[in-house]
Amino acid sequence: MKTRSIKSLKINHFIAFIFMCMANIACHAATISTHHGFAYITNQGEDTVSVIDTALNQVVDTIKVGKAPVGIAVSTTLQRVYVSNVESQDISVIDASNNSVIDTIKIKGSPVGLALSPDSKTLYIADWFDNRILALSTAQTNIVREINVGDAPAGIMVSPDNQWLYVANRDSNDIAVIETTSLTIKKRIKVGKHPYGIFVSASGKYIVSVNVKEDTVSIINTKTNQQKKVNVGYHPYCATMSLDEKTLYVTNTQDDSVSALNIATQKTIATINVGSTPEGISLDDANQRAYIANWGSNNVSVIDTSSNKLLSNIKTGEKSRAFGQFILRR
Amino acid sequence: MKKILSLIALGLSINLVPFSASAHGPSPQKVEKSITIKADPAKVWAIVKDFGNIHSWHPGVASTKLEQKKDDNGDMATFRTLTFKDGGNVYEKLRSTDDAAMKVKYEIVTGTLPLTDYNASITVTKGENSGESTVTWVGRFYRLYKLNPPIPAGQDDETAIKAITGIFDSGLANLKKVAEDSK
Repeated sequence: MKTRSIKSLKINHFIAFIFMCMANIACHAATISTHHGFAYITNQGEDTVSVIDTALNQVVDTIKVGKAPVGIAVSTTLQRVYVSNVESQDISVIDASNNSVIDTIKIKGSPVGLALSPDSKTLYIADWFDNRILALSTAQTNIVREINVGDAPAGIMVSPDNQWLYVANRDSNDIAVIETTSLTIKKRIKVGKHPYGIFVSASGKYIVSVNVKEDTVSIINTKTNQQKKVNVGYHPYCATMSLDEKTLYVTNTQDDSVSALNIATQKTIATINVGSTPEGISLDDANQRAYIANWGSNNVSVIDTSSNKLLSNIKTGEKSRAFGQFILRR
Repeated sequence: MKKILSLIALGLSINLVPFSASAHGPSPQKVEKSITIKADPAKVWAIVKDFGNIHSWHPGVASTKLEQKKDDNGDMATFRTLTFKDGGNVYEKLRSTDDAAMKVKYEIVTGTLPLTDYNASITVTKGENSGESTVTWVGRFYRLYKLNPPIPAGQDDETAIKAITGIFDSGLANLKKVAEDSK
């Protein structure tokens, strides 16, 4: 703990929790009243972010960011977008109201995975090479806490109750379970080989790691601590789950496809061909759409999740990755 | 051609790199090259899909050894060893051959090229005019050096991209020649 006492953090955490509940209600209301979402897609090969209006399924803006952007985190509450630039070793902060970069935060190391706490007060940053997680205050970005985790931390995500940060450590084949208040590792969960993407379901009941070198996903029930491994396509990268926690979607980078799995039966319902080398995936639940960033074909595939059919491919930029939760509501 | 061979020779000095076991950085690289060939797609596809005969059209490859073997999962798979004219080599696994899409996918298991975690595809599509084909070769890989900068010379992104660009450009140019010349 570098910056604050444990006690004040606990109080802050409680206040944060109340705010988060309020924000959740507000978000939920917004989801129902308007079906307007925006997908923010990082294009690693041209140092830009493409903004897709999910009502139009068109790119409405292209934003210049730092060098080699990969990770993304969006805050509907703050109307902010955070982008990790691996090679310029910084974070671009975008104001979603006008899609302009309003801040660039220098980071020691190579930032890749990004995640926001549900209350949007903390931005977590995975430093791929130095094997640590930085926790940044979004209100005061000079306030940084840090913790060492496993080797090559990749995907990160916070539980909906704001209590836990889950980190997929690609080279130690486990998930680190970090208590957000104390920023200490409470548990390590052994998963399949080379976990890269991670997803925490809407209620926090499931954690999913995507095990690249094993062609599997590990689905962990946080209530029972049971883990089930399910085979997917070749070299899977990222996953996302429907709001009702019934369907899991996984990008198979080297099969150029997305697997849709039934969580209850662990059976593949559909394999949907998308663009080439699909990586990041996020759902626009309100519109029953999945958005997939294709690194190889420089576009975004849109899947209708009610029929599990490919709807369209939207041209974005060179090497689209969008690693993280990338759909913001306005 | 000379440039390619010297690049391959450069790869030689780095020893055999185990491709699949190694960690890599966060920036995968991509080389994508296309060429238009005045020959029917079916004819071009027949040349491209012949996994054990790349030396018949790639000017940098001296010989190809084709093998059927069990892979890491115990499944039978097709592998080939390419020996480059300068003495370097790569050991590659065939991932898939799709006749309907006219697409072949493969990956490097080990080899002397200055890169890691390489996978690639070659696709044949109908060209703009009848009797023409477009061949597209796409490779995805990482540089050799896996840590934060400074990056040692010869192990950076640029070196890896140059090596693959050289192989693709010379290969496609000669594939065009071979396909257009043969009856």
